[in-house]
Amino acid sequence: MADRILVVEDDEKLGAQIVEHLEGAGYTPDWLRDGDAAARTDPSPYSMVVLDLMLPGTYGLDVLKRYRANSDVPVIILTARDHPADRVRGLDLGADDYVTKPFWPEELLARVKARLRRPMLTRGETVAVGELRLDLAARVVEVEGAAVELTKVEFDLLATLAARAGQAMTRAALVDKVLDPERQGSERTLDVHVSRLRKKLGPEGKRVATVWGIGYRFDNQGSDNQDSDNQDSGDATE
Amino acid sequence: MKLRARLTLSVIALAVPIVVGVSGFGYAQMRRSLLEATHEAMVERMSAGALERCEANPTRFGRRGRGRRRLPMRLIAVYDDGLAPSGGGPPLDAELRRELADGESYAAVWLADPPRVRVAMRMPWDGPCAVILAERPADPAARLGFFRILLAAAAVALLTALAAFAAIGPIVRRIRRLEGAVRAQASGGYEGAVEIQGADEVADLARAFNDAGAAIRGQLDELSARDRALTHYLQSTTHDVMVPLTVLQGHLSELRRAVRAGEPVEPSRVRSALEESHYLASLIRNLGAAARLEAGEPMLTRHAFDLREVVERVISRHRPVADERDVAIDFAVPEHAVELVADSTLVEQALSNLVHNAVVYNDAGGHVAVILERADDRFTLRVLDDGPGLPDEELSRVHERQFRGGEARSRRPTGLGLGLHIVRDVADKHGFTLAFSRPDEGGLEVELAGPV
Repeated sequence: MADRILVVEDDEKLGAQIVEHLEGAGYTPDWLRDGDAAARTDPSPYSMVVLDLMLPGTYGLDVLKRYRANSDVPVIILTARDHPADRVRGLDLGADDYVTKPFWPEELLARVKARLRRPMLTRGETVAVGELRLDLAARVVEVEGAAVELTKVEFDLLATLAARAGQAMTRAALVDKVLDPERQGSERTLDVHVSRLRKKLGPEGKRVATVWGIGYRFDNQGSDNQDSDNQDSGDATE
Repeated sequence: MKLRARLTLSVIALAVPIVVGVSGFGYAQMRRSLLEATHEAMVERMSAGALERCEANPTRFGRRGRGRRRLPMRLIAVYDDGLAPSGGGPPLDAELRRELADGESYAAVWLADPPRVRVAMRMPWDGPCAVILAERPADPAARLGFFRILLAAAAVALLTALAAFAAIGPIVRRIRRLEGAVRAQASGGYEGAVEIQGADEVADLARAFNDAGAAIRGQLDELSARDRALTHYLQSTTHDVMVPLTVLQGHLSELRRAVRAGEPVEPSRVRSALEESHYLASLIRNLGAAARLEAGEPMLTRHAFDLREVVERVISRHRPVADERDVAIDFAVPEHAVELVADSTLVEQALSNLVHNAVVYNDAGGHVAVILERADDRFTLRVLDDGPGLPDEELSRVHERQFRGGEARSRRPTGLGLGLHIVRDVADKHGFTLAFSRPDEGGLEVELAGPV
């Protein structure tokens, strides 16, 4: 089911654009044009609120205050005044994020997605992306249903990257986490381990992406949904 | 109320109670000396043989003694040690009795019609004539004394008030002159100074007016300087904003023409339009940041925030433009929060400027990476790119502290402009270090570091 998003924006053009882009991204937005209406609305059916601060009627922060009285719905504030005092006040009142105008539609969508992003896994869970299945507890990796033999370092490397899937990690951080300092752990050594890991993962090896200037990233975008609660739709589940 | 009237009234208000008090005290003294004289005269008279007569026949003593001396006094009765009448006279008035019992050597009551004073006197001996009660007319002179004293004191008060009324004159005139001078100074925009005469409080007042005038003049000068600066700022800001806006309109106009003519839209033109509007947004943010930085410390708002969120936000702001230019942009942040106490808006703007430059001065197929790291109690924020980098000359110039003025404002004088100037200022204000270097692989690396 698509996430319902409440948009509170008084400007017709901007509001229409936000609604259009949210719809385009697969969300179901409801749009309110003034603060009083927003203050009267119950935010509980929504997965998220996008709230403009300068509204006719009730001021945006007062709307936020009202919502926070009995709801934990994530709220992203839209503001044109880029002053830290405003940010601090908004965050103190319980806003989760803020986007300053002008912004690219993609920018707002990125913030919305980041807030609605579900935690991918916790310790002991399995990660299943595409043809790759990673059982953290049993330290087992399967590609296309077949077990892949990994060394301790290779498994740790994959697990560390998968734990922060979609986010780049520096070589230095990976060396620190994965390599044994006693055994001359260097960034060169790391690169060698990555290259071997990729080879062993075969078609899924491309998920361990090189990030220019930084290091590596576990790429969880692709043929399957990364959310653990949606695993049953993929081939990789048992 | 004017000063003169106020002073005169004050003198009167102060003098009247003093006069009444002094008069009352003088009158009481006069009564007291009268009674003392009476007591003394009686003791003297009794000592001169009257005592024996009294003791021999207290009943008749009073009447016999009457008129024998010139003392205008009438003996009424005599009393013994216990204040009981010795010769069948009237008992002693309760008030007199009480006073004598308290150990007073005499006590008196003042009676009217005819005005007289009745005095009970304890004699310096015991026996039936130990206390003598006598009456004498109240001295008219003594009665008048109170009014005389009152009159004299009232006259003194009046004269003092008149003197005060006259003496305040020169001071009032000086204050009037000062008032005129101050008014003249105020209407002349606080130019010049009030003339100071003498060394008293009026001169102090004149000096204080001069000081206040100088302070006001200073503030006026500052305000008008600020006003000029603001006008200048507004004019140049308008110029800064209008140029990219015009370019943007040009692109849009060309796009419209192409659409109308059924020609394919040039992707490069769309990209230019996007970049121009991105630049405009960045410019306006920078102008706001510059205004806050120039206003100095009171405008900075420090609070705690997670630097990782700033990095993420800045990346998402620039990603649409980077994508359009085919420049890959990525970032890495530590797993745990990097909390900084700083002006988050300014730090974000500084990072945004570095990323903006890295994206805009890169070539298609290029890369930009932002890396936040934390080691002990320091953070390091690096912005790397593999663009053409900076020539030696500019690389040395960006290290100069005084990289400002007109150059910093203009659009792209050195390829960096206002944005870099703000980065430098933000770093200085927060005590961060800012370093530019050229990695061996080429491109540019900018490192912003500071304590967390």
